[in-house]
Amino acid sequence: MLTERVHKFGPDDSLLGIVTLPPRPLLEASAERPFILLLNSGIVHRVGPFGMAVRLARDLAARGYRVLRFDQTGLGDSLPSRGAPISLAKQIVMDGRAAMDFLTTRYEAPGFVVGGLCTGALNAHRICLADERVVGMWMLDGYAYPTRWYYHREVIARRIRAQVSKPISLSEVRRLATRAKEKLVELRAPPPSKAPAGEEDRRTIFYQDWPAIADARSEIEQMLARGVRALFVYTAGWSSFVDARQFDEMFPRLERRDQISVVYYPRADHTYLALEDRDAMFRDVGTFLGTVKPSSTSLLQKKVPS
Amino acid sequence: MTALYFGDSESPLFGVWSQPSNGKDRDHGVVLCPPIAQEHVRTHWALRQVASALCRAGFHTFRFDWFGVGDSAGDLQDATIARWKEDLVGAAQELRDAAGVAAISLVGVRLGATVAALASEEVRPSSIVLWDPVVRGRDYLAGLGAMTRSLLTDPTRFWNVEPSRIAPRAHLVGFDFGEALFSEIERVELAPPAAISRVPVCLLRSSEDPSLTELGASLRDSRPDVTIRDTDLRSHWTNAEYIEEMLLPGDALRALTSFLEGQAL
Repeated sequence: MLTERVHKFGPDDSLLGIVTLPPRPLLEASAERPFILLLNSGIVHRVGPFGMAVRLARDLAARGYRVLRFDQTGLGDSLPSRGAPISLAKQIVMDGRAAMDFLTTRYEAPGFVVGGLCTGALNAHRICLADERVVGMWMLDGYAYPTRWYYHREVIARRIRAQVSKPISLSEVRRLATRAKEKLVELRAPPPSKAPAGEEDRRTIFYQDWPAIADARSEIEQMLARGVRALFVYTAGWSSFVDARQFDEMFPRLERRDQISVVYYPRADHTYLALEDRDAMFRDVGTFLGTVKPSSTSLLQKKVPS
Repeated sequence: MTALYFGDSESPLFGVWSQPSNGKDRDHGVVLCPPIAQEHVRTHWALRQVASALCRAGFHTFRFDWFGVGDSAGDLQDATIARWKEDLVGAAQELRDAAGVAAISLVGVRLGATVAALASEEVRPSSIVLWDPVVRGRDYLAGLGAMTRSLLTDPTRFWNVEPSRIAPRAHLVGFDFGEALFSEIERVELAPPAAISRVPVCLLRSSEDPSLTELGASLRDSRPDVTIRDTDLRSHWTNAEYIEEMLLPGDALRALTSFLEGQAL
């Protein structure tokens, strides 16, 4: 039987989360495995869209993992911040660290894997980047930067959806190709300058402030160099990502690419309305976790001569 | 705010007890009975705000999740109406034990309101607020089924819409109700209002569901003292476009708080 416990942690015990523990036969072995952190999706409280986080936590616990799903500051049953206003990006890193500090003390967690959907994916990226205790990360509909493949697919799909009976003329093909090239030039342009001070605080919690593609690549490489393993799961409900091949177009010739798995579900929507799509994702996350080493051993550290 | 698991250790329920926060203690507790499934997800924030408002008004509150719902143990498809009635009896007792209050009122939303009404003989509340209760289970399930079909064929949701994709009838808006629970809910009838015990009742309507109009008329006929409040808030329970929108309580908050304050003078 699974065990679930409610915990408060963080500054003034302001954060609330539920720990799900494996059944007794798997409990001892689970202490050697990384602890799983499930993050909020948008403003949905810790149960997740359509209760997905509860099902996933219990599924992973049944596979022998200890899981914490918690509400970040100001969401669900966690309290709003009482300190000086800080950016959402900084706040989620502080929340993630508070969760890991608590789990290290209370459960002697040997390392962590962070997972999330949508804004949860972005926050998983932030926490993983900021804290070396994180040894694995999965993102559900995470980084998605348009590429040639994306525009190719978008153009074709638009034609099909428009149900145009006449064939596409050569001039139209040229026009669309020109448009795609222009888009690519835009993509290769330097990222826009940072938002003015204070602007980030005004952004809504829905806003996803993904790093520019070059920054994302650099940050992924930093994490991979640390030994982090990552799973990127995409759905067809995420309009900026259209095919598993798009990942390698976004990040070509990535160093340590073998530490990354990419899965694309062409039938699924963004929040996994259909139960069979959700079950497939759970299986892939479970399989991925089997590849993650329990504690962080930095590859960079290994290179340092003794 | 105290979050806890309570009840049977084999299948514990999640609850949150909050105490009066404004220096005034009415010696009165309110148990908040949430909806189930995706309506539960949608209303979590609203019910937290309701609890906060009631605490500021001097009430103790207890929010909890039914068996198979939210953070409580179990799978939805293993739940029964009888189990949920027991859950509510246990939640009310938990609040009585924790807060030592003399009186308990119930606030239920959607199917949570229906179960609260059905369990009112056992719980013996001093008053009850029914917020858009499910009047006929078969209509409720039909509404969820229609939304599910609409969502599964929504081209803005699925890039690759498969017109032939059909979910089993008990898979409703991302949740597996299971055949047994589906059949049981199908038989739920809140009317006639005699099912609601003889305590002050407030019917809070934030939906234009005709069955709520009928229920209001029926309650007025049999219970001249019934309070009926129609809110400006529109909850859109059966509109697929709102299925992932978090509900904010709007003027429902003031309506139910003022009703309960009137009952706990």
